[in-house]
Amino acid sequence: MTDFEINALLLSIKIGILSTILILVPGIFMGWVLAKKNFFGKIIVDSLIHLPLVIPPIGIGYILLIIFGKNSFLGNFLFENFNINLSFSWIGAALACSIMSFPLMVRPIRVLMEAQDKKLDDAARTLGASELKIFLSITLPLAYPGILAGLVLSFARSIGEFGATIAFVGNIPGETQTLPLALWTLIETSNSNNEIIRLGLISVCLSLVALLISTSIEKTFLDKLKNGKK
Amino acid sequence: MIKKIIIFITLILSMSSYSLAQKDTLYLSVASSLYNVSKSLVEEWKKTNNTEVVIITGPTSLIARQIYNGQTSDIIITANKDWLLWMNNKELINIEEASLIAKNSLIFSSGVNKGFYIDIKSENFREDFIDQLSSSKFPIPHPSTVPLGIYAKEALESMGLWSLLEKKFVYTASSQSNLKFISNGDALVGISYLSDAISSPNILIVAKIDEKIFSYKKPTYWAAKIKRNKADNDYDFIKWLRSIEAQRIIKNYGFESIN
Repeated sequence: MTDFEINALLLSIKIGILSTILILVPGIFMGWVLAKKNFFGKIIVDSLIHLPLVIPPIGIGYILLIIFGKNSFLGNFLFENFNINLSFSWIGAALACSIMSFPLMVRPIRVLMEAQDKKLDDAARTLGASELKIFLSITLPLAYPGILAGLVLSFARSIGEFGATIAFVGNIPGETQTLPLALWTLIETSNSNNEIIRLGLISVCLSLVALLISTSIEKTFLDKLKNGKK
Repeated sequence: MIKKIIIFITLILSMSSYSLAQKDTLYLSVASSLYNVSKSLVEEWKKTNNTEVVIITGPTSLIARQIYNGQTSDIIITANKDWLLWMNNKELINIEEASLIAKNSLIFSSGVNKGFYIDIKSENFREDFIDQLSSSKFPIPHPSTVPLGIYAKEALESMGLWSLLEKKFVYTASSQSNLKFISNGDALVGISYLSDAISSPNILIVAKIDEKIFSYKKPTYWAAKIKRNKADNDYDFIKWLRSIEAQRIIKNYGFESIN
């Protein structure tokens, strides 16, 4: 593999992992809120969370650039005081991927939490368990398959993300040029179809490996859950 | 299992070979039509300079805007002077210090075996052009922002073809995406830089659009140092671009040298 390919591959994995980690806790929390709580404006919160699925990714990238770009108030504040420049950095790319994949994290977790038997929570409550204890010992373990599905879907979305990334963090080799952006660069500039196909195959392999790993993790967790029940 | 996952994640995250900002690195933003020649130029320059170079490419309009929005860049090379003026107004560069590094020409180009032939010096070449084009689309980079689009609009207007072709336009994002439309055969004919046609094996030159016959601004490439970079250092790269050695490489890629 060439340096160009290795850089893009590792960067994609790195950004995919960070973006997934960033949304894991907020994703579980929002899944729980939407599944278990009823409050005024719930439908609006629900719609807002799903918005990244509907808005064109490049629009989200541009909004992020307006909010965090060096010429914005927030971007300038972060840069002047903490020397943080989110736009055009790999951490910014992870942020863009997080936003794009957030609904895919929340959705499966919420579905599983909604399907849980409420009587279990009530039984725990009558035995004096606190809300936190109910969450940690009943809601969360029963939602494991949903969390895993959310992790896999978010990671997959992140490594394939293009529009928001290119608009917010640009196409800088070694810094923000992930596999889809590297592929786009080659499609635009390369005279060799082989180069393009090679990178396309690397993308396919990465996705396959990620799916295989996630399936094996899922199997291990589910086995453990089943054994625990026995 | 969880331990294994944590170790794997830590390993990947620690692969920070990407903290290029901490190394001695020159960030070079180049117009997309210069991407291939830039790779050769950098390769040659690195033989005598121990500095890492990162080439960032895109349409001139995009790279200029990205630098304005905070993208790290030490040098920009644009495909026209208008965008440098824009950057000068935003106090990103000093236009008086910008250097001309290459020139180019426009051509009509087609994919191989497309059988498009035109003699632009003949009297009825416009009718002939439209006849041969038939139902095919005509790709053109956006004429309001992308340099090739701006040059192409001037040239087509001067040839009296603009209004005839307007309904057939497919707007593309850069000179390179425009070239792909033509080389893939998705469009029968299009407008390109001469340098792109020379360096692309799947492109045929249908006709050179002579700027002495048709009036359009000659495409020129300008390099300028970005003001707000870390140490205001361009490692004398711009000066080197004007050297005989660099100009020879530029010429090999079908550009006109400045000498």
